[in-house]
Amino acid sequence: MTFDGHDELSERRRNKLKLMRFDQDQQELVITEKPQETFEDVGGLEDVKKKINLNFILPIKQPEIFAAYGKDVGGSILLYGPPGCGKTFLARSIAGEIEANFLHIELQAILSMYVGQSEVNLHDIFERARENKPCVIFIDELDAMGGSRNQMRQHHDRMLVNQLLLELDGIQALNSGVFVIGATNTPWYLDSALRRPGRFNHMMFVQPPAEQERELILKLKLDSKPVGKLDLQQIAKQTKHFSGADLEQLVRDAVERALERTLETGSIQPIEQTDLLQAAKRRKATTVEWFSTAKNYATFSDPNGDYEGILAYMKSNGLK
Amino acid sequence: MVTELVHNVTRSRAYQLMEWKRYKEALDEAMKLLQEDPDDSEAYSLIALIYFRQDEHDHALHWCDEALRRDPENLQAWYVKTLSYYDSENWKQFDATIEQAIQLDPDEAVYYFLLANRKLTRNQYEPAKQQLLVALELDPDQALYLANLSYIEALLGDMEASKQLEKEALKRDAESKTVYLYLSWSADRRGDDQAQLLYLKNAIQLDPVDEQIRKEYLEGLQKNYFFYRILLAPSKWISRMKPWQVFLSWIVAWIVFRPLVVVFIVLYIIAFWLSKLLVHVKVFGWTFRRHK
Repeated sequence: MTFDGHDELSERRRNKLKLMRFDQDQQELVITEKPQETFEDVGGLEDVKKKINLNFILPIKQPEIFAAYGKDVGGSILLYGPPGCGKTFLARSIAGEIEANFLHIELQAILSMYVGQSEVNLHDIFERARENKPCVIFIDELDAMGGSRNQMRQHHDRMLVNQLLLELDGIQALNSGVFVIGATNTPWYLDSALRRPGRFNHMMFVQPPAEQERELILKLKLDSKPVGKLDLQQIAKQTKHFSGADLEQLVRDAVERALERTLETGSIQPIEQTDLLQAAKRRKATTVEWFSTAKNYATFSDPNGDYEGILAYMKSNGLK
Repeated sequence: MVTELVHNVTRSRAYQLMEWKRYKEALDEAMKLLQEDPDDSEAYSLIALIYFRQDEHDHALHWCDEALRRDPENLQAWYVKTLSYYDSENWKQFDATIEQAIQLDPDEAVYYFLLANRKLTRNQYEPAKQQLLVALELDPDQALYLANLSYIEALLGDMEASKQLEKEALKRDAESKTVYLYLSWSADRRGDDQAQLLYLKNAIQLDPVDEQIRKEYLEGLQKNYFFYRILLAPSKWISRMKPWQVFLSWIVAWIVFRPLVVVFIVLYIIAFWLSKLLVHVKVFGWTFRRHK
């Protein structure tokens, strides 16, 4: 099923797949982006970065050492954690670190594959990645593509999971230099076959930013905006469990308040400490709800100890 | 032609998103269907279904009524409406709605399953069994119905039939939390504490977010303690008695063995709380915040 170029649905799909461009003549998929972000741009998450360094980055920089241990360059990791905590940014920084091409598959693209009206084919994406090595394929919302096959009633749902498994196995057998990073807010919905060795066997918990990181995020978000005398440390203290996205929203709220004053007075009004404090009071951390669900999975449905990081984080941060 | 295709694609996307439990996005897609055709009864019933999946029964019922106003024979709307009344335990409305729903769609096996459960709420085991047999005639491979029937057979005292149906249910579906939940009740009724705990363990691994499953699993773990099991034994006899028999036995026991009855009650209370504490520490550690 195809649609013409003016079709609204195709337009929406293309918008979401902006990192890929289809050549008009040859329907060629061209990878257009090499992210500039590196680990230096990622605040905190030291353990995660260390693990990624060992499994992903060092094998490229010092291949001979890893070859001696029979370890290939490439592989896959799964980033999981509450929404808005920087999984996508971390994936981009990994691609930036290894100077790899970056292919981003989002929910809308996966959905297109499901409803069977897209020229984007999972196998093609993996093939193109293999042709453009080193390449990072980032599958955002992996649970949508690799959800439990038992819960998938439709035949074509299972087909896509099976295809994904096939492609991941292919990486191990045929391709060095192709990296697959999956990200999900709900790792418990993933098909267990996806977590076997050679597939997404490295699971990394991307936790909400710590106090110092929150202060840094606030500083970055307020950068180049008119501000008064701010004590961001105080705001960071009062925004426990806030995700990066929550902090962004908080800054937006504060900006709105300053804008209102500006319109009232007719002159540019800076963002004040009270604007941020008020915004922090009104907003609640969206991660809390995620943790209350995650805790149940970590406590009752975690035979392999995959979610131990969640319980450890909750304990050390006084989360119920 | 193209409009129709887009409409179908939007509908497929909405269903897919709903299966992925992305309800907000699914609702957005379903609303697009309404924008395209404000009289699309199927779109209204789809929105009702999305709300129903989120346990928002009032919203689900509202959208069902909107769908039925446009098409009184919209089967999906009747289905969601019946299930919404059932889930919210609005029995008066449920009884009225399911009758109409069956008239319109007599081959929908779920309705007979619901009627069986309705009979169970009134302790009418034999009529419940008859309803389930109808459901199984329509859908013989449905593990959920087999598991429920296993439970009913145990309630009716036919333990052999109950065990046989348990095997049949597991053969057909070993990945359903609801099947495991029914089988755990069935095992409990047969006095098989080990099987009960095993089924609850399977159920909780499949869905630890379900509060009922968590509660029953923790209660099941309590029975692991011998001292608690011993004190639970009389309750098993009691559960097989009729209410008047229970009342009479308590009166007689109170008159004849008063001190023993008092000792039993005290020991039972101690055993209950001690086993509860031990289970809590085993599962959650030494933390005593309320687990939600």
